[in-house]
Amino acid sequence: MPIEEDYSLLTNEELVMRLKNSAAKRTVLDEVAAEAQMRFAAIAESSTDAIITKTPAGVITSWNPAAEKIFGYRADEIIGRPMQVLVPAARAAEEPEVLARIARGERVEHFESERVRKDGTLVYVSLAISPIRDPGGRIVGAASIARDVTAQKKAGQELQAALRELHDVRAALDEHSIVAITNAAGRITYVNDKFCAISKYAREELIGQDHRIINSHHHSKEFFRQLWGTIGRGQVWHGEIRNRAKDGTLYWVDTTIFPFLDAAGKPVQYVAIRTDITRRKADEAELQRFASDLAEKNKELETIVYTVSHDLRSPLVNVQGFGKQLGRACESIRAAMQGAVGGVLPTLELKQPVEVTIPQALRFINAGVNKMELLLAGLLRYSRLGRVALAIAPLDMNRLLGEILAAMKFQLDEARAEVEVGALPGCLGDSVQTNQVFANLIDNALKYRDPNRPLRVKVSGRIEDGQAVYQVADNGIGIAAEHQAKVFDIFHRLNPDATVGEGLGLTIAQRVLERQKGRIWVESQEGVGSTFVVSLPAVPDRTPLPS
Amino acid sequence: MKNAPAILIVDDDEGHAILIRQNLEMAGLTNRIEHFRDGQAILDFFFERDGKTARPLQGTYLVLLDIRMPKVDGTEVLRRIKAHPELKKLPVIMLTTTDDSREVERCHQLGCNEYIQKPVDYDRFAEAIQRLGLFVLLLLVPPVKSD
Repeated sequence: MPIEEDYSLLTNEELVMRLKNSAAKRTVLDEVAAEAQMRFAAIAESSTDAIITKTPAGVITSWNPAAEKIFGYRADEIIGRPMQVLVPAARAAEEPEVLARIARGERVEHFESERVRKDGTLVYVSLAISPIRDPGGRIVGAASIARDVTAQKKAGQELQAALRELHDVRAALDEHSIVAITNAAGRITYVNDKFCAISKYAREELIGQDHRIINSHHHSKEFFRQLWGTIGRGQVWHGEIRNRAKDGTLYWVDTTIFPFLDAAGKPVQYVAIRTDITRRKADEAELQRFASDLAEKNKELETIVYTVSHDLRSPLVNVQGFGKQLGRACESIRAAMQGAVGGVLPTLELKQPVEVTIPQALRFINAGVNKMELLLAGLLRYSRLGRVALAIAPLDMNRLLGEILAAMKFQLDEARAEVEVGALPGCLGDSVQTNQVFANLIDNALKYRDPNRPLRVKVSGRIEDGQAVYQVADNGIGIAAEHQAKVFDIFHRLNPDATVGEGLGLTIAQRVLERQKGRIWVESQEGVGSTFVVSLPAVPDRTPLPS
Repeated sequence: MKNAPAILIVDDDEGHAILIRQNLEMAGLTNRIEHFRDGQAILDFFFERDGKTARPLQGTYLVLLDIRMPKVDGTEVLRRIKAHPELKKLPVIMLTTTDDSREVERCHQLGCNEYIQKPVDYDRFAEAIQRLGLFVLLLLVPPVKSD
């Protein structure tokens, strides 16, 4: 082996072997040692890991630039000081153990620990420590390699925290909301306990199904088409859905469906978060009922106020005015009495007050008082209408008409009236109030009959657009087209002198029907007859519910 | 007075009509006074059966019009009169028991010349009608020609 051999090409093991086995000269050994020293120095200089050597007792003997960067000490500050300087108090036992293992010739494989920087802050490091032996195999020290893993450690901690937070958020969500996850095809892949509770299905019954399992058929196909269109485009859908539980009960949920998208923006699954709003929906419906009741009451009140402001004042003007005339007539009689000579009353002067003024005044005062009483009674009757509780039920209208005609038989016979009742469809209404409406219509036909011909009344009915429509047609005097709109006005009377009544019958009929979701209107020709048309909700068909 | 208009009282309440007539006379009016029982009656006085053409009229008229009446109410009568090119010249004074502000508003929109509430208290009623009578005495009313 030539002496000029380039030892740098040899591996460390080869070098040691060569040295052990050959009878090389002392100079060769020195060169090899120097070469190894240089190699180590070069590695230590450029390493980003801290490379630190120490004596078996733990005193630092070398310190590379990376060590300075990681721990903050310059080489000249730290060489000669014990390694324990870098160990935080909480881990004080670590270093003696490491030294003991090194003394036994063991390597200490990578482990993570904390060390203290010069400025007192902690640094997370990954450590590996190997014993250093002299050529004779004696342990002369140890080499520590330390890598700063603070950044990784922090990232790991953040990940842990994020995962924990995610877990908590999900727990909170599950605690508050009804949650389901479906895959892109709409199959349920996850449901939380609340979903099972409200839908009354077991988890196993739901997983793998689609949401049709809870469809109540309250919403249109278009509704769900739009829903799927929205989330299929990757957009969030929000709305209120009515669902059906396993036992058939219906519930409302406020729903947000959030699509999870892949890198290409295509939905891969949908998370549906729902809140039970069944109660709120019921409250809303209740509120709407209250509002319409209130509107009805208000209308009633306005009518009453208007009536009081006009109709009740009119007779009062007469009572006051003719009362004054009565007073004046009294005055003139008194004057005549005072001026009477020898107890003989002057007939001529008494004639006007006694025969004309006083009877006329009394007539108007009495009429006024009667009218006021009639109006007050009518107002009371009208205002009580709104307070009568309705019992809506299917009505047999032929039976109802039969009862009315039986009750009015005397008046009808007296007028030689002929009433013809066709086959009438049933309807939904309150039997007492509906009876009143039709009794009033028959009574009107009697009142407004044409004296020149016998009264004919025809009652017929049909079903039209879910409404039962009835016609009460007479051959009476009829109503001129321009007067027809007014016949339903409160206290309005077309011929106040011809018939008795306070002008409330049709007003009440209209109010009664409105409360039962019905309507009334009139078709008439003057001199020919009138047809009053009443519509009420038809009895719904008993068709099975859509599935 | 040559130009004194005939006064047409349109009121469904006979008592009111009598009281109005008496008080107008007490104010010194000697005009011809006529009473109509409802809105249809006064329309029949002014219009032909077609409801559009004015009937031949002579002299001048002043209408005292109540609102709530059977068949055709006062606001409708007012609307029909004021919608006619010639009859709209007729002075129409609403004379009614209600003081409902919406009613007052509506009548003025339809073109009534005055709106007077009939007071319930008779002294005030008499005073109001007599003042109205004095006012009428001062009016110069244009004659209306038929179509």
